[in-house]
Amino acid sequence: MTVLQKLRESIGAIDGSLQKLKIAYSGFESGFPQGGIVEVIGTGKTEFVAKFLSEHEEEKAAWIEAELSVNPCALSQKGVALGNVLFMRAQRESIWTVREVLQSQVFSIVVTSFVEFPENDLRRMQILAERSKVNLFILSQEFHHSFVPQLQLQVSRDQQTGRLEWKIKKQRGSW
Amino acid sequence: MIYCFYIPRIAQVDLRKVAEAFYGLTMDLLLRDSEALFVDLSKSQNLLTEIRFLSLADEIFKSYGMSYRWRGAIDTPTALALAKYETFEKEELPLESLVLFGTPLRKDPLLEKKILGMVNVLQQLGLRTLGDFQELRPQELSSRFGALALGIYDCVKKGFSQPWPVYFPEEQVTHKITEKIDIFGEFQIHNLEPITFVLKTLVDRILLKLKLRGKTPKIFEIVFHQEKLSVVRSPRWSLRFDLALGLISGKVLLGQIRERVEHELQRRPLESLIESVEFSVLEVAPYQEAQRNIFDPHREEKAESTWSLVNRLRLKLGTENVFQALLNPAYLPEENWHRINLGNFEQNPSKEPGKKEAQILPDRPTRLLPKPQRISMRDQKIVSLEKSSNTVGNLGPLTILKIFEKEIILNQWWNECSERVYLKVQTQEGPLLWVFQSDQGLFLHGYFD
Repeated sequence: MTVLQKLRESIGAIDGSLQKLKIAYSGFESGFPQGGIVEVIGTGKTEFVAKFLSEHEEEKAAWIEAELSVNPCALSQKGVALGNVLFMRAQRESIWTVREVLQSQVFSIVVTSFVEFPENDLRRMQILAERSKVNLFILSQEFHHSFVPQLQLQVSRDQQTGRLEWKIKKQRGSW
Repeated sequence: MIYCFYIPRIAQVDLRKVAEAFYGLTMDLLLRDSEALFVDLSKSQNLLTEIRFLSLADEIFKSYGMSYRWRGAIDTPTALALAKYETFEKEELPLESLVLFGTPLRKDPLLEKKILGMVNVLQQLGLRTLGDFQELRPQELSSRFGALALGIYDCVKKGFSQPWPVYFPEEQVTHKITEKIDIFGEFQIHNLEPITFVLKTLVDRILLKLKLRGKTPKIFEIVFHQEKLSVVRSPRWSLRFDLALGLISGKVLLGQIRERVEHELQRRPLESLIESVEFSVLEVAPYQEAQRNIFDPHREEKAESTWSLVNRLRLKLGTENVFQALLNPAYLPEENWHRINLGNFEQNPSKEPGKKEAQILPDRPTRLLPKPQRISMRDQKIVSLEKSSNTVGNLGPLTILKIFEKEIILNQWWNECSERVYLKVQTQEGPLLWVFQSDQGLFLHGYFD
């Protein structure tokens, strides 16, 4: 862990601002911070998030992608309640869409996949997510080099059993 | 006797207005979208003779400037088919008229596609008319085409006996304010406040009127009647609103109207002064404000916020890009679901249609490519054969570790029967792919992400 990362986490621990409520998830024992950004990469990331949605099927979720390639039939098989999911094909307006959705406080879970979020936009999203207590999941091809996401997970699939395994790349704050 | 008035071309006038005119003659009416109007005179034959009725009907259609074709028959689909194809004998109807026997009361694109598939097959077997179809035995039809064909056969042979839904003329609430509004500055629109001021009065008036009747507007139209000058191409400037979700408060509605009018005025500017503003409610939905929900007093506020957000998203991204998904009981993976406009966000998740069928299916990949990508598998490598892509996520050629879980999916018979053999392919680089082999080659259809 770099010196800068250690310093950031110490600051978070001292002022207690990162002591947050957790949202439970059977696929990740520590749970996720409520009102935070979680970045997930690797093979199986969509399934990982889908299982989280299935465990919180009463919550409304927004699924935002530039070009939607997610398969709702597969989501339904994983137990996701499609009646509580709104899909948005944002094309070039992904950042605007995510911001509008976070600001509205209509959804408690937002899932988006984006190639490159500028740092300033990530920060704004973090603030909006905290204020609205929305869990924002970013499905990426590779990790953003940014301190903004509170949790960065790498998911992989065991080739023998097919089970999903995760590894924490970065965890910021205590929750 | 059932009379069918078939409109061959899409008319400028709404067919519902014509139906209202017929309502004075008889209450047994049926509208088939904007294509046909059915009138059943069996209960009014002592009041009107056929000749008198037809002359009245002709006058009504002429007054609306609509051309039409009419035929009479003992049942609805026969009258419709005879009017549409301009014949007098049922046996001479072409085989395509089976679509009308399958969907007589309203159009159903999915069902029509299936019936047309059946018609294509029958035509290949040498059948041409409804008379040829009637000579077939029902056992032959059921084995090839199933229950759908049997239902249509019964309808053709024995007649259609399903009662019509009760017709009620639609209530249209219109309010108009005649007031000259000049929103132009020196050379461009400078201020929309006068319009908003007038619209507020109209919105409040109409919402109050509807609320007292236990209704809420669902589809409405705002019209600006402009001053008719020689340079003005179209003095009637209109904007239609379709509220996907129920709406309660006038304040939110006015905000959304203002936003949309502003956006639309930039696209289609006004050409002269506004002489009058008209607000017409075209369709209403039931709404009871008898008592607030005391267990969830914020429910209405949440509904308003949701509607407001969805409207903004639709305005920016396009209506077709903001949707919910509904599962279809179809064979092909790309047809397993379709988009729907906003449904009720309060749905009970366990009652989602198609959910049980989805659980029975083998695992489907979480990501489906919009179009299957042609690939080749050679020397334990998967390579894309399409110039624009490199298989999954720009990973380039992938190394195959193992191939397993074969699944055969047959296409629906009305969509050119074909077979796809699906396989899961585990790659060394990580992605688990879903490929299929068909008579057209090897394709990558999706991946388990």
